[in-house]
Amino acid sequence: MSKARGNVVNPDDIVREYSADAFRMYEMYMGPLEAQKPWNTRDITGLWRLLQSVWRNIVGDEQEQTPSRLVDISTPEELDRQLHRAIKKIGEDIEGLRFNTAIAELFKLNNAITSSPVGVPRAFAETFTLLLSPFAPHIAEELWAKLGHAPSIQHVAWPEYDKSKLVDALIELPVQVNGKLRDRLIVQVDSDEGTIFTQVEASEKVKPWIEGKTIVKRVYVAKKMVNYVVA
Amino acid sequence: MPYNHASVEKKWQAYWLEAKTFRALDPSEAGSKPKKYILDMFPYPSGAGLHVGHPEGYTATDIVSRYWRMMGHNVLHTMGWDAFGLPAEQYAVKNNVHPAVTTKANIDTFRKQIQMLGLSYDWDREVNTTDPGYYKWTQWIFLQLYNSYFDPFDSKAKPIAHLLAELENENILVAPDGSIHINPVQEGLEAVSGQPQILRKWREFSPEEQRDVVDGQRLAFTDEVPVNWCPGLGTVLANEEVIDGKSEVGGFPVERRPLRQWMLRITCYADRLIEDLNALDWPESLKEMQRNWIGRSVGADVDFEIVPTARPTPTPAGSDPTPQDSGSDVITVFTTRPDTLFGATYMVLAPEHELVDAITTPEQREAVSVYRNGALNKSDRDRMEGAKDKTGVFTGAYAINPVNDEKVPIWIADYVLTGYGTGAIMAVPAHDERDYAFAQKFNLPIKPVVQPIKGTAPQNAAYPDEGIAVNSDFLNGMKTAEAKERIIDELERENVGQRSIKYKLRDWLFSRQRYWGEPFPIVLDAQGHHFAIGEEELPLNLPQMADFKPTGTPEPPLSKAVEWLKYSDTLTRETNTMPQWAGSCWYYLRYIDPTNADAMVDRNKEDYWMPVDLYIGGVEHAVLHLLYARFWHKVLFDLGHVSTAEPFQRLVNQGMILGETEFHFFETTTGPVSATDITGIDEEATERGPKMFGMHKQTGEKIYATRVIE
Repeated sequence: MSKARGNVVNPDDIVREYSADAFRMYEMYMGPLEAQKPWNTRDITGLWRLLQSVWRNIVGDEQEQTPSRLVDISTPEELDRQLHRAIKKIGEDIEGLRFNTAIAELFKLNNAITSSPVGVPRAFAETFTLLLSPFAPHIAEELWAKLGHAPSIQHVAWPEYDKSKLVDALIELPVQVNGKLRDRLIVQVDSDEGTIFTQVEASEKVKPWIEGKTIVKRVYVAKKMVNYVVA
Repeated sequence: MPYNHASVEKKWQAYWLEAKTFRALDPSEAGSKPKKYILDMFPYPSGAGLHVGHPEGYTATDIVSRYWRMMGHNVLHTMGWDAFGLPAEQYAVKNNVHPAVTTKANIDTFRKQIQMLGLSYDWDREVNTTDPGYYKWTQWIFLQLYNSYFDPFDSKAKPIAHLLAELENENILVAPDGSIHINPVQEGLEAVSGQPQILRKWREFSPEEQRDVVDGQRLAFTDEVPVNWCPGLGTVLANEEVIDGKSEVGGFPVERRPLRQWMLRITCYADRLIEDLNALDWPESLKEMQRNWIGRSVGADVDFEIVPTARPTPTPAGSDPTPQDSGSDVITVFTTRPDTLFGATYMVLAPEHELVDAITTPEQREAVSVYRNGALNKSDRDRMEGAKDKTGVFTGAYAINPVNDEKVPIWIADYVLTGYGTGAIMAVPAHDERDYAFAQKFNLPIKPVVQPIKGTAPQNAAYPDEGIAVNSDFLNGMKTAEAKERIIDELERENVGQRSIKYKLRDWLFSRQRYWGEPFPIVLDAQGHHFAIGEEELPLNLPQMADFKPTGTPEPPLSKAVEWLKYSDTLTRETNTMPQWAGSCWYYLRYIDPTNADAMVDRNKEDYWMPVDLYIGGVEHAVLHLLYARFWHKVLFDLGHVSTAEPFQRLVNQGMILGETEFHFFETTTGPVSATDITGIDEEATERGPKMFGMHKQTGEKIYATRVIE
């Protein structure tokens, strides 16, 4: 029936070409729910690619001889922190009907595993699939089955986040030598003072200002900054 | 293989249907699970099928529903069809196919398309407003309205039986205008001072009068109401089908003609409909639209005495009707700005005001008559919108401004409507833009009586805002709010006016002269008295008719269903049908208990699921659907059939999806019923625009892309 109607965007055609999941996600990704939004068929491609990429990461693609990137390791800490932040954000966004920002979070998670050098940890893949399922329920059911679970994913509990993992793992620390900013160091948030000082003194940018001088005082203001006084 | 969406999506859709994955549990099965009721505005299943605008709201509620299920909630989320209505009937008439046939086909298409999107509805709860098992209960709700009245002392609906008891035991007396009053003696009150009310006791009325008193209190009642009669099309048209006095289809002239209509007394609920908005989690803009639609304004009724005119000597008895003595007739006006009374320099009556004939002088009679005939064929909306170019005629009569005893001329003009206020205004041209334009055009005096607190009033324009009273005797120097209070006290003391509250909201015109709608569970005798049929006789099925075309007269198509029409030797069935709003007023209740043959909804189930936790739909339903549904819900609440005073706790309007090109989405549509046919279904909306769930034509908007996908 769609062809008879000529130049009209018909949901049947969109679903056939791009999938219902991509169509759903596009409609939610266009902008805030309450806002007026212009339709642009080309933009659906981005959502369709996201789903293809998720599939390649978790299932692989035999045709292109791309194996699944699933690995049975525990999720590296930084990735795990990102995942927990996403659980919190996506849940809150759904309750607040902010579907566009929730989907943006799914994009970020998928980018993170796509570029992950260690592959896709199974636990991460499972949680990610649960988070994806309200938005793209078909592919999520299929992924859930591929991950070895019985249907339906709808009967699985929404993942909970661990509050302790919500804080940033890495922070940026300004380093001053005699009151002047000489570097900004990226450090583990829970590093102790000694580790911080070792890192500072190894910095190529700080070295010229302290080498050959006497360190009078070293101060680490926790999670804020580092001060060196040299003479 | 790359991801093959076609096979995967089909597979899971079949699985979900088969496994009933999204089944909502009845409270008896739900245990301690908390509930969430997530509702979409259900669509009108047009022949054009689903468009890309529908899935926006549906996907939003679907995501929310899936999320809450995973959060351990028992979620009620389902879909249905708002399937009565004009487009199906028009298509049927044009193509000689019964609307039930096209409706079924359209619903099948919609269901298939919706399932294609993977929306997680509980399909065991699907409802269809045209299904007799559904409209049985629409008719039942109508009977509740018919058999109830609004008790003004308790501000709630009660059974007519209660009213009868109160009348019989004389706790309630009846005023000459039919209004009901607490018996001051029984209440131990002194008779109200001031105007003596002639209150009559029930037993003083004849049986016919008693009938009128009761019928005058029912929440569903009949009234003679002007409708848009189009002789060229042989049918009555909705306001939206009339443009500049002509039919939208065919451009035929349209006349206003009074016709007996069913009305619902929504106006009684005006205050509750305003007050109860406060506790709802709705967009503030939407609440404001409802408040404006209800249009509550506080002001004063003011009596202007008509100056007796010199009448021609009465002709000998028995010949032409004698002009009646206008004596001490008064014209009562409603104003929200009684503080400007000293600036009232003329009066205007609506052309159809009942006093016009009595006061018009012989010299002005012809001009007045010509003007009235012209106004007769304009709709209220045309009269309001055409307000830029003021027209009017002097009646030759004068009235006395009660605050300064000045003589002011009485005009008629079509910018004054009979339905709002009293059909008469005091014109204060210095402080009202329409009055100003009228006064300018007809050289009437303009007298400023309010000054801005800072600065000066504009030259050559009205100053409608508040300020300080001037040229107003004892009000001089008072701020507007204070001046209003003072003048109302004065009017009440002098017995020439009183404090008054008025509403823009009108009673709901509830009958249509169409075939494809719910029949009324009402029968009529030869005198036109109406009677309700018994609840056990429901559903009253819409008769199968081979010919359901308009009759060519204002008589509805059902008048041709001869056998169906005859109820008994003395009684015939009502031939009007209900508007499409009827079925959509309460569908959210039926989802809770969709197959119950013994009740609209089981009270335990209703108590568990209500209110709706989230309702998503288009902003075009901001007033009519949402106001009508709230009204019905409140009546059902008052009568003890539902547990909450409000149906929809949280409401969100999804935004429009706009097209990329100049073309309108619908203009190339060639479904069995094109979307452009669908607009105009709503018979009372005062704004042109979308009418039904789902299929919307937004004036001034381009909806949806029109590019070829391939």
